[in-house]
Amino acid sequence: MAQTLVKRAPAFADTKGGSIRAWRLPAFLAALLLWATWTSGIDLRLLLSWQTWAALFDFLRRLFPPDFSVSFLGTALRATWMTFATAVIATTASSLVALPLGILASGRLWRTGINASTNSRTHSWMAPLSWLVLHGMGVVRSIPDLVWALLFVAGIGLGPTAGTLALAVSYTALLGRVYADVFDETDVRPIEALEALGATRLQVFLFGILPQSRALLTSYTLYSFECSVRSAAVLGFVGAGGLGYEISLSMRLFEFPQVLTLMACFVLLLFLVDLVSRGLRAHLKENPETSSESTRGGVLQQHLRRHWLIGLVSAAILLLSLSPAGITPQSLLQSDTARHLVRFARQLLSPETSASFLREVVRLALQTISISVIGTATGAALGLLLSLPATRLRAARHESLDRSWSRRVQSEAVFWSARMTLNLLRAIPELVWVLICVIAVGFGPFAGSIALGLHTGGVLGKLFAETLEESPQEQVEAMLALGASPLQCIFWALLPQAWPMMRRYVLLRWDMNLRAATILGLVGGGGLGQALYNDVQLADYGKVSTLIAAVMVLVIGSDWLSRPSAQLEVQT
Amino acid sequence: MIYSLNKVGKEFGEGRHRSVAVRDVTLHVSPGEQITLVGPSGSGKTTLFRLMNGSLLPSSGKLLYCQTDLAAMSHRQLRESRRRIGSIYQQHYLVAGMSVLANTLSGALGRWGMVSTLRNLASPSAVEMERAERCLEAVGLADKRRFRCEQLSGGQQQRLAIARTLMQEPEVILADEPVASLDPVLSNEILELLVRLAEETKVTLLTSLHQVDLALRHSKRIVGLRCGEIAFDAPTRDLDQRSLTQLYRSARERDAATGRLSQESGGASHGADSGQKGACIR
Repeated sequence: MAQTLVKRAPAFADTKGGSIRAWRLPAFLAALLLWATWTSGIDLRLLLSWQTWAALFDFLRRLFPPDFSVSFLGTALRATWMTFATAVIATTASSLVALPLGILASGRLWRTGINASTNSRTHSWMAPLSWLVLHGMGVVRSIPDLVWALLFVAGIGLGPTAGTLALAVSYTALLGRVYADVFDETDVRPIEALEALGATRLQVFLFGILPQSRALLTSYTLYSFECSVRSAAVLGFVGAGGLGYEISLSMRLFEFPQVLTLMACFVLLLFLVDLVSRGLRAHLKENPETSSESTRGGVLQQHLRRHWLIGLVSAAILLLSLSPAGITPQSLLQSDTARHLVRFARQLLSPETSASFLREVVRLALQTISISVIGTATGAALGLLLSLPATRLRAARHESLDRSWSRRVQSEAVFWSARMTLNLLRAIPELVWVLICVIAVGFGPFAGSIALGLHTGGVLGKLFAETLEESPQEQVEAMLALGASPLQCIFWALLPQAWPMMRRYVLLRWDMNLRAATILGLVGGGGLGQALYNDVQLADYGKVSTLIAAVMVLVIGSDWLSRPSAQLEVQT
Repeated sequence: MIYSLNKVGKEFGEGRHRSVAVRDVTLHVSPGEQITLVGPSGSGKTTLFRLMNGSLLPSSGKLLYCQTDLAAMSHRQLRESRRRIGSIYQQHYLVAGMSVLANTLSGALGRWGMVSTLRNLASPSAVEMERAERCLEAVGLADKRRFRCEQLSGGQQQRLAIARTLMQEPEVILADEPVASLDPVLSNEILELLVRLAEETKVTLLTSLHQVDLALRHSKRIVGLRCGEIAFDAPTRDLDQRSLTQLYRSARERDAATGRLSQESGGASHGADSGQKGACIR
């Protein structure tokens, strides 16, 4: 009996005292939204206007049929391979560099020691260097990879080399941090035992920390490879070659069918990469490092013997990737590449600080924040709207068997079209949405907000639907039994229970969108990014470095917001 | 003397959270001795062992290992000393994800320099391999050497821990409640194994135990600890079941009288990790 009652009162429940608390966060968000629209000069009426959506729809209609001519397919496949190669080279390079950096940044090895109670002797003369590496990586990470790509393109020119270097730099910082965290989260007890028998730091690492973290390292590296494929495609928007470059080119030439072909290639590439990395993960899991029948030899020998095929294939892919990723002897040894970069870096080191420009930067930063707020709010609304038909009520399934055949087809059609819409919204990256929205509503923060809203709607809608489906369903059964419709069940039984989780997703997504909003402008979505792009084109590097500093402030600020403690503050 | 402890004390935390884990312990251990420490949970056995193997430094008093003060050593000297002290823990402190053989080999880390570490990681030298296999044979795990250590049962893992310590070729073995997580039959087996190996290799053996009967059966000298202090230190033949059980009961009664019955020392225990679980607050 007890478990069939809805455990958590709905947010709108009229329990004493609870009602004010429950309204506090929505009220705060609504105020933020109002402020955002007011300061950014974004006309929200446009969002609801018929023309906007008609223009978007018109654009989508003109994508069809996709361009499958042989000559263009060749171009598309070459671009796909280039994107893939960029990701392969960047991930390989960054994991190789990140490993020593991660070791250096590990607090357990150099700064805090393995155990809070083993006093003394834990501090090493390397501690300051370790601290520096850790925080240096933090600074590098606070600059989005697209901005890195923009800088490298400006520094060494258009083409895949800039993209590969940009990805390598930002993923090195990312992986270095991840590796350091993995090292620091291993079981301390075996490490204490090794220290007690007289092992050095190097030995503790090789025999205690590394064996424990190997599985996680592989898995995180594979995951970062998947992410880097996504990033590599997008980097092309600022001229770093590959799929993104082709997409923006076709957009500019109004060759919309080509855009669709390229996006199909992108989705296919993501699908294949996902498939392969899932296969690799399964393979590594099935083959634990040692088993009773394996042969003699050290750890390294065993690895080579067991995974030689994967090793060989990887090496071949790596070699084949070098040239399309723009890493050739010529590109690296060109004397002026390094000189260009040095001169470029020197220009970046003198930021523009005139009062009028700083005021402008503050305005743009506020605009960026409001883009993220409006985008998240739009996305949450869209996601909620789409998640309702995309939710399958497990409890309702056996009831639906009794229904007529045509009713069932109808409800299945609604379900699947909602799911497909969500997947489509999610699969297309924010930046591609910006390109699309720019065509529909013109350059500016409004395009950025809608684009962010559409992508966020896809992401949140899927999460919402999953959350709704995963919340306890006994209550639904009870309500169906008393004659409620499925929609009523969602509102009265599932939503109240799923609400806290959904709210958390929205807040998390807002944090990610704040980062995204800083780069939407690079393709015309307003905010700091747009100014950044313009000033790079004008080679006004003083302004560029001030703008980058503003981006870093926003990103670090959003990091701060997403700290667990800060989230608790927002939620209560 | 292998160990001379002179009024050794160890306290954790500061101010209100201060707690004393070990106080004024004076203990002398000569080479080849087999000593068992008994005492209720929180009486300071683990802390004492961690002081003796150099994981912790004493807050007061002097702890000499082979006539030298562990606290006054340089990093290099300390490492050399720790190489000669073998530690076996209650939970086995093995490295998950490595094979039984590799875990055994890691006992030799203290002897290897940087070059041989790297070489042995890639492909262990024949000498070390042979030594490791002898150690595994001694504990009866020779057929399990290719297994991952987490595939072993609890008793096998403790044997593996012993094999790693043998590989270390220590002068003294500190076994901290080595059978706490094992059943009575296995406990007996493991202790017999430890005692036999210690006698064969002429190693000094210090074991801490909860089980009074096992302590009486497997040791020649018993040291009783209560609230961080030595309650008695006598040859086994002078002691009987009753006097040992008394140690547990009197500790409990005294705690109850002051309202601290087997009380974990609260907030302080977080900062100082497991080194002082249930230490008596003064």
